[in-house]
Amino acid sequence: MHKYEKIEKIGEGTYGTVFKAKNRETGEVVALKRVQLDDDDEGVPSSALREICILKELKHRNVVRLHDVLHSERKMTLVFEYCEQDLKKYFDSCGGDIDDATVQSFMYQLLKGLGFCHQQNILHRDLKPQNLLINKNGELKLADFGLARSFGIPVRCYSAEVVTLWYRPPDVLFGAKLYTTTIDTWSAGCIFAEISNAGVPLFPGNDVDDQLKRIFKVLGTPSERTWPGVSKLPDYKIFPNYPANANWPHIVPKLNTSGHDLLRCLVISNPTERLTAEAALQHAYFNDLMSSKSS
Amino acid sequence: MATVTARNQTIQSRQAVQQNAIIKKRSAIPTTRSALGDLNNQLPASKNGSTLQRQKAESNLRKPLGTKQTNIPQKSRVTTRKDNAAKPAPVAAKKAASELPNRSEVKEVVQEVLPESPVAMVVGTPSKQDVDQVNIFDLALKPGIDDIDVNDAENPQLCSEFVNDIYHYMLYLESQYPIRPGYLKDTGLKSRMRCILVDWLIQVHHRFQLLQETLYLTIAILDRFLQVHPVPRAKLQLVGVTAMLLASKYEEMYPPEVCDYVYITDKAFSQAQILSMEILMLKTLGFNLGRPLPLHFLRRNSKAGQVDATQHSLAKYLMELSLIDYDMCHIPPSKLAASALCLSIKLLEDAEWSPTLEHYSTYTKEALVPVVCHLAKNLKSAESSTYQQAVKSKYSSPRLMKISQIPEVKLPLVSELAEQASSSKL
Repeated sequence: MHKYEKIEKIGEGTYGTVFKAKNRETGEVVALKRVQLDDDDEGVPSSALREICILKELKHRNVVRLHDVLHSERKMTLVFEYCEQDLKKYFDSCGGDIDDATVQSFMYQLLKGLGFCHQQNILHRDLKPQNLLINKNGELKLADFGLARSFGIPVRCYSAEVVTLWYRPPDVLFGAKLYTTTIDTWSAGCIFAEISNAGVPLFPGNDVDDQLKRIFKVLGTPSERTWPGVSKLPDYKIFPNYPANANWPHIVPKLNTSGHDLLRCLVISNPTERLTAEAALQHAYFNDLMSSKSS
Repeated sequence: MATVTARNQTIQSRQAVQQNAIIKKRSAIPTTRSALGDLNNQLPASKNGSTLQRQKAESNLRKPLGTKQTNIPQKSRVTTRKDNAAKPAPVAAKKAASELPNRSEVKEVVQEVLPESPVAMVVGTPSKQDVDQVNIFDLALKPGIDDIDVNDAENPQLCSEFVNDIYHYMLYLESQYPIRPGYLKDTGLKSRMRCILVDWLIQVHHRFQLLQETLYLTIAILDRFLQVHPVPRAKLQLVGVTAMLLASKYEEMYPPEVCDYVYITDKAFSQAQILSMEILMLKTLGFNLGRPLPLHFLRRNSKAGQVDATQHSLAKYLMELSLIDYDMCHIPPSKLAASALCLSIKLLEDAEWSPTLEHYSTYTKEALVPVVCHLAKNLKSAESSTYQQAVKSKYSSPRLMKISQIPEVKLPLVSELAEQASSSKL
């Protein structure tokens, strides 16, 4: 641990304390995530184990880089690239307005990083503003893979208790255990709206029922016709029959028409109709994005 | 019954404690949003019903694999319930609350051809160029080869958009984590010791009711570690249980606890020893647990061959028998899976390795022949060898379609192929 000099505590991750630190030799600033290991404990937490295994070689400019893992007697330290803030803090500091180009750029980077994870069999499963880091160059990076896992094909049953409530898709809210990469693209859609509205969450539910109600009031209550199989989901229950009348220009006033369309395609209740990250990147909303960004 | 109920309560309260601990950790995330306070990603404590009934009376596995015991793998000692109030019970209970609702049914096997699947521990990200250079997988379909994903666009579980990318990537990954043929040479360990250890691990795995992925990953971790870090014979079992500890942390939703592993070795090793071995193994493997497993490839092959549940199950049985076979430890998972299916369809249908199977598996029949012969050899020796009895009896259960008892495993063809095994080099 002599290699790094701690500067300050940044926060608490899923399973450990995060510090800002400096490499004594190179001067490079890094983020250290420290995991306490006690003898009477379970050893390396499985979330840390998965995060390390997954991030060890998941190298993409829109995924936070894990530089190293250090181990000493009773603790393990993950050395990450340092990013100045996360999207949540960015919202707090932006004063209620984010310009169109930034919204577009953040969204593009989010989908780029996500598409890459999905291609490498990785589901993130906990996308939310707190887990998207932003560095001083405006680069956005997916972080906190503590809930992530690799998947095979066909995708097996996994826990239904994933993804923070506000960003959890209706299929998972109904207890679906078979889910796939579109679990993450729903979250990406919610975040898209939130960025555009400078930090106002799209569906800030208080509990599962409230969450679903908020979603259906906008998107319409799904039926067997719009979403075959929905009534067979483990935790399915009947909701009032809200009509589908999403007024996107009202919900996300600052987005242009193609932005509304992209959002609409990402937040579709039926997971089989939801856009994948790869397809979303091809959406017209990104047409005017400078080609340098996609390189 | 009273004891069972009491035990369930203990288990539930224990789970509640664990969950509280997790919730505590998560809610420690500084946030200004009040609603986040009630968010969590944990299972509700109440969902776990009593599932101890499902715990089968199984052989008493607890044992140190000491030197004295090297002669008889002990699963023939049937069903003492002496330990039934002891530690491993919570594991079974936890499992039951887990993600496999269909595990206990006969149907499971049928479904498994598709839906029950995986978790490829795939880690590691080659750059685009790397993947292209490897070029193991010609994605263009040639005439006469079926597009097996053509009807899957509607089913997101099948990821038809990038299924080929991912398989391509898995082939690349497996090439990154090879196991050396005959790696035990010069280590002071004997192949027989590995055999006993793996046989015991298979029984422990069965007893803990873990996922199939966990077993394959355990053995992969074991071999990958031992080939670069030989240990004295007395530590071999420690390496084995720690490999399983790591694999289950990676794969399982409710992995057994460290104390369960201490218990299952009959306290031959302490918790502290297991935990320090955990770190040593992780460091040695560079934290890469991401080797794809034979199961991942088999599922793809089974789809390509449109095989039925019996054929798929027989292939699984063949693959599992091979785990014990030290001579086969270096066979790449994709090749093992292809060979297992090749032999399975041959025995059950007298079917040949089709061009479609060749395309999707990337192996020609000729390339598979030596492995197929060794699989046949194992199938034959399972009829008599002590070390394969654990797998054989596991696969005689109705849940696995009693596949080890079907008459086809005794076909003359099996003996014919088995005889060629000694002359066909792997």
